[in-house]
Amino acid sequence: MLRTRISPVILIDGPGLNKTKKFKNYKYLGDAINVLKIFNELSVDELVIYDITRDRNDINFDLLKKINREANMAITYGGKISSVSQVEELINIGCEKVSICSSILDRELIIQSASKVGAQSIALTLDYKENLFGSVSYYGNFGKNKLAYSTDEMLSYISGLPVGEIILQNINYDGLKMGYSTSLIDEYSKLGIPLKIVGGCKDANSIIDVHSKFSLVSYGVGSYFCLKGKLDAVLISYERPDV
Amino acid sequence: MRRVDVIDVGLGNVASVCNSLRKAGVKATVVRSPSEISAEHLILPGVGAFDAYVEKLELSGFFEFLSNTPDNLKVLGICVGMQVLAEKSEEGTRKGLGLVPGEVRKIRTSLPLPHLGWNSIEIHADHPVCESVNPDIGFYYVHGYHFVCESNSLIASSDYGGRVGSIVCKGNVCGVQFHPEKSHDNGIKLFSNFASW
Repeated sequence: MLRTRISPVILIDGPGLNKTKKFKNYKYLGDAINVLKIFNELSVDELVIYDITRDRNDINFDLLKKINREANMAITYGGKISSVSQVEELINIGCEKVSICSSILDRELIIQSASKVGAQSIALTLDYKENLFGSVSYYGNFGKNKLAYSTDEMLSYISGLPVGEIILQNINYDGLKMGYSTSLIDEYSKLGIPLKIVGGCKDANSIIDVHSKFSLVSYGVGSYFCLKGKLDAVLISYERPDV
Repeated sequence: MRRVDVIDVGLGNVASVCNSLRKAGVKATVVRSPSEISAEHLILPGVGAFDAYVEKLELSGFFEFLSNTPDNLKVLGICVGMQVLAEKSEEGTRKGLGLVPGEVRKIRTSLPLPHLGWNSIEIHADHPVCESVNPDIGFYYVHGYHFVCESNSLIASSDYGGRVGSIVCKGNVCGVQFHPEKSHDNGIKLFSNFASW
């Protein structure tokens, strides 16, 4: 029986890891390899890594090689990807999946990458905001560049692409521990592609609540697995609900 | 110390396979041409599309070598490294190695594709690579195509809205659809079993 995937989501920022709130307010978590070793010990289902380093535009392959050498779990990597050769290199150093984020509208990059590494290894991360009236806007470049696509247009665009996973990340929920946003799950589930939601997990009940309504969704978890208490003290954990 | 050679054709997570082998107490050596093979156990790690992987095997000389696999060499294919053991695949147009009778087909299910994540396995036949692995915990999968073969070659399968081949074997050649190198203790156990096979 397939187990619901619950994946820690960590953010590379320079040599270490950070956690954000609404893609801002960076809080240092620690050394990437040390955090990875803890997640190894905790036997996490898989790990999602985004590189949000602000002062470099290239992929930090040296760090990713070290991470993959240590990792006993599958890794999805996203951030600063702009070419097919980068995608091939990321798979070759040990990432199971590569997530296209800011280059999401580069159709050729996605198609050509899938022809090399297989559609199952290509994920798309959709960073979005939803306003009070339920209107959704999508963003690239870690929330800085608004994409001129409605949800209908995005669904139509993705439906023709060779993609193995959709990761929906609500920027306004990032790091706030207020429960997941579920408003887009029904629409994106229709694509018939595995779906992961990220942003807002408060505790195990956040996952249990969504799972009771959307049993096929998987979950990315940032703050809940990394920060504890009112002061957000750094404590790496993996309290996985039985879903 | 037990030794395993790991093929590197530039498409597959070689480093994490070697790391898992080391955790299993096995010395792993990366080989980039058939002439470098010296161990009695050989792994084809794989992530990628069928045709792209076959092409890499052909260019590196491994396709021809593996087509005539010596009887004293135990082979383990992982993911697409398992799928190229078949005769052909719906994912591509190139010929597979044909070491395990069968073909690779797109998974037909009402569930989302690819088959992604941890799934339990059902073991249909005793085999040394399965010894003491926990079938309920299972292994980590990422694939949209699966190996369809005769029941006498099918060692284990998983349920994903229908049966999906998990472990296939023919003689001294074995293939696993999942990723042992990403499956924590169960994967390390399977690697240890293979090195002792």
